[in-house]
Amino acid sequence: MKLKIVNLEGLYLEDEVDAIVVKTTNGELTILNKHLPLIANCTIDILKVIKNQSETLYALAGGVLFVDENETKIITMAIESQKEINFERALKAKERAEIRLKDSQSDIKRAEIALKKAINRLSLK
Amino acid sequence: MALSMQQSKNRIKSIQSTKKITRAMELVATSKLKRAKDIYFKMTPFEKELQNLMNTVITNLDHTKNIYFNKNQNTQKKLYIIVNSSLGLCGGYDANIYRFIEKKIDKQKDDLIVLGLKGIHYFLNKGYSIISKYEELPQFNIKEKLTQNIAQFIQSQFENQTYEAIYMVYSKYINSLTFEPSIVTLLPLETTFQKVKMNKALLIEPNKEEVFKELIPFYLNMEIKKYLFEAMLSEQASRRTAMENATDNAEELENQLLLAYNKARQAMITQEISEISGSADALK
Repeated sequence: MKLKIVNLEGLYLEDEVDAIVVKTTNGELTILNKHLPLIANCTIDILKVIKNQSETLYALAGGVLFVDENETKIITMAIESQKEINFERALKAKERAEIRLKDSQSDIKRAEIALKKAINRLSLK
Repeated sequence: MALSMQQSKNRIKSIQSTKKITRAMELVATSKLKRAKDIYFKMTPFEKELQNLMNTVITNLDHTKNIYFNKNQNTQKKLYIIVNSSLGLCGGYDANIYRFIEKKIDKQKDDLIVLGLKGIHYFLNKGYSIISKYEELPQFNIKEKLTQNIAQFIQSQFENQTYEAIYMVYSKYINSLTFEPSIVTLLPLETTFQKVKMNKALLIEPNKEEVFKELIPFYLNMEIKKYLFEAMLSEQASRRTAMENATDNAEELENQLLLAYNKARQAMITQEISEISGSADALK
């Protein structure tokens, strides 16, 4: 199955893979070869890419999953592999978001999303 | 009246230093233009995929009743997002935008969001109602949060039916020498999208409305980012051309002044010689 991940900086990944495991708003989905055409919203979670029985993990910051007849696409604002994550920065972002959550003046929804993203990144440590 | 030797010498000096500055700015703009171009074209695959996805979702959606596809009937207020430059010396870049847009805006009703210091000064002076302004344009950073904020803002405004429609005004980049002021409609969304045909039934989870709702901020953010970067690309191209012309003009002026200086110098020498030979004659 052909997997294509695009982010704002262009094509992030294009590879022939066996399966991907992705969390959507409806729950966890495993996409195998020849899946039905599907569009689904991804949540902020870990994306698992399986190729030759080895798993690669990515931190996915939301996005849309688009399974076409011959290729699977993930369109996202931000994605990082385990190696690319700056854990120090993620930790700081988590602390910042937590402070913002306690402050009733700030935008709670945005702080929540920031916290989710940070925790998601840190979970790959 | 011809310039004296001292006068032309001074002017040559001042023109030479101006030329140095414009030459330097031309080089800076050239390198920035290259960077802007890189980033702008990097975004293309993302944009293409997202557009394709949007088309697929919209094909499956009844867009006649959807609020995002229809102008708000309750108001005639429009919102314009205008991109100008923060720095000067870029030729007619800003002036072209002013000229282009001023006829379209209704001063009494419409609101503006202005990006770039030059535009803010201009529209404030003229008494337009600016609801938010960004003095600094973002550096060429693709992960810029600014566009996301604007996208969120306009989406909520449109949902609250504050505006009939929301437009973006920017300089369209045609090539490094040509760019023209353009206007695009951000909201309501275009209904003239390309229809996508699927061979098999398409599954949309949880449902198409939800997916579409998630897609909109994504899409708006990308659109605004695209046009903003395109405007910034045009700005650098415009600055480069302007500075190139300025350097050329300085060179031409320098040559003219040098000629005047040499003429004055020659005239003085001739005069001195004739004075000397005249006095030598008188001594005989």
